[in-house]
Amino acid sequence: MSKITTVAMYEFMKIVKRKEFMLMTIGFPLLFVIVTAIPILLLSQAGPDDHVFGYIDKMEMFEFPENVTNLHSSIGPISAKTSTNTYIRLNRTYESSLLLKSGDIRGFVIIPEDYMETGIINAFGKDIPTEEISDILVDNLLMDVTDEETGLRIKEPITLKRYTVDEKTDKVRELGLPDVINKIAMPFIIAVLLFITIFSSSGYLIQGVAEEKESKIIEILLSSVTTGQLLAGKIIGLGAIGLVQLCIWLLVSISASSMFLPQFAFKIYLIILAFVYFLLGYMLIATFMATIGSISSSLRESQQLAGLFTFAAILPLMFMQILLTKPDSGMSVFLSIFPMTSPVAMLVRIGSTNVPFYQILASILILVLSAYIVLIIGARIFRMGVLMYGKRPTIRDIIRFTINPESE
Amino acid sequence: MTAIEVTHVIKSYNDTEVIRDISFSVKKGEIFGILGPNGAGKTTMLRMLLDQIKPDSGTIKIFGEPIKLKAKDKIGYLPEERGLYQKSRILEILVYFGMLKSMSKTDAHDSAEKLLRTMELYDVKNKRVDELSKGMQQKVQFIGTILHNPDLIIVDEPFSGLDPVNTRLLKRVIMEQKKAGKTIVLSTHMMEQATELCDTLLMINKGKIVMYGKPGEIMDKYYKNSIIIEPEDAGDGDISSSKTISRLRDIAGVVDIKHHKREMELFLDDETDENAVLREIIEIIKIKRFEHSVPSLNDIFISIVDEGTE
Repeated sequence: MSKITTVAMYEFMKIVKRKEFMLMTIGFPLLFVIVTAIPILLLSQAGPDDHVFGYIDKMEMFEFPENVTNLHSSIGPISAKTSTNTYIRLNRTYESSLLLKSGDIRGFVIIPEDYMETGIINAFGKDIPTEEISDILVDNLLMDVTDEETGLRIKEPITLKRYTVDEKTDKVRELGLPDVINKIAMPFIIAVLLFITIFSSSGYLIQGVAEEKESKIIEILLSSVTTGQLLAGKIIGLGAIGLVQLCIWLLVSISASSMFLPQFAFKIYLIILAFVYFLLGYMLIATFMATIGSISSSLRESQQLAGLFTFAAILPLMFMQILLTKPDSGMSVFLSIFPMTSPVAMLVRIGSTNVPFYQILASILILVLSAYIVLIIGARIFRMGVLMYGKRPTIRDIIRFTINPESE
Repeated sequence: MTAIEVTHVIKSYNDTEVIRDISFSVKKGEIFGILGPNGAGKTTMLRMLLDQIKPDSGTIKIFGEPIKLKAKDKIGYLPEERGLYQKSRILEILVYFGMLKSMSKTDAHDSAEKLLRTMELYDVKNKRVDELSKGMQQKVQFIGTILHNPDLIIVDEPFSGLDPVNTRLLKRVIMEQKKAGKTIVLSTHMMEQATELCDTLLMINKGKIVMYGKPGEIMDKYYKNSIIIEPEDAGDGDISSSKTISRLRDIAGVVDIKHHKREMELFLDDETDENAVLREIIEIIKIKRFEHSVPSLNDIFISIVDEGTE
């Protein structure tokens, strides 16, 4: 087994055995599912019940239907529910109040004599179905004026249907809820997962390097391996941790989505791109983090320095609205090409618009180049930094060592 | 055969020269002591032997070859600044250290268990590092140093922080390694241990060699013909009277006198017999103790460092 593999395996197992890792990897999607599923389940259970309402028509011109049955929408595997409202005519307010008090009715409305002038009706009790009563009144008002069809159109003048023309097949296809979900939700979820995995893996790296430096284990390690082998082993081992996390989370996301939102279709090319961007983005951020860990004198100091890079990488999340609503704007294009932000920003853009292929290619190439340059320079600084105790190298030291790595 | 050959090595940090043209060689199978005060350049020298840092000029050969990555597997290193993964288990860490030295997992495991028995730590092999005392952690680190049966063992201040019982145990293990033909480089500022264990000594101060050779040779080099006497009436002020000192100084062969608290050191010229001087002394003052002054390595160390400072 090569020394890089030994370091990588040890780093991988060290994190995998930690309770926090298990909690984060399994707990995070579980929490996500719970947070998403519980409101849906509660909503489905707490759908409108059957109720009885009273009405007092002081104008004596309205006739309410005895029962109105409503069909609510289905949520994932939970089938659609129905509820029925029953309307009873009442004559006096006092009598209605008694029925309300005794719980025989849920509420009642009074249509006053001047309703036609003011449009005001008075309501008592809970859960008054305002829209339903509004429809009943419109039906009554239009009954002798127009036919049923026109009446329906007056109540619902527009039902908008959106279409798209497929660029490749020229086929016209109706756009629906699945398109909205797939366009926005999927890239968004993948981008957020990517951000979390890149930063949690890089976080382990900076923590590990700072701990080894602070506790001086680094001296023992460097008597067996070179700084390059150590850095490579750590990046590979902890990158594997990130990949495991990403796989688990994507799997959970796909399973949960297909269960609750059957319209949700994961696009395979997006998943492949997610892995490409993960590897490159992780390589870049991880090298930054390892370098910071090596030049810091304590874990606390390294975390403070790492905050600067985290801020840069968090920009796509801050500009998410622009990326989603104006994906072709200059800012969106910049964020999806700039290496620190491109992994997350490009995935969001791909979901929101048809990103030209050359932009995706440019983004990946710039990321590869940046990761390579950062790795070369980072390894040089890492080599100098890990053996410096008690003091942080100056900017001059870092520049000198970057130019001439043999000048420790 | 030579285990280490250092030739005209120079190393600077920024504009400060920390190793100034140092050359020495370490024979295979010997215990070689590198001595020096704090900041003398010992750790820099050791790091160069381990190829952790490169010399600006000069050459370093380990077992006849410039140090290469593969040579690291032949070296066991116990640094002065020590640490272990606090949350990891003892055996697990040792197996990892062994594997980093290209051992198989099984070999590393077996060797770690054997050495844990030798170092009286077998019962705690599955404990976490932070559950052990500092001394025990230090022994674990020493096991990590010799776990892969290295030909060259480099130990930096191996006894610091150890109690007398564990110091004795560690000395025994070091001597066993020597008997097994291993070459040991021991960096320390504890002179007693260096005198007791080392076959050859190298003292560096401010990056320069100030003393190099066998302990006996060094003692001979720094031998002073002097005697120490403790007068019977020490403490009443009489012996330090100028009259007494003047009479002692008049003894033939006495070149100088140093007056310490309860004793006096008389420096003699090389030809003078100390017994003849003693006979004359007892005619001047009554003494309760007389001894030939033998400088300890510690004295030599301090005097050399002082000379360097002056």
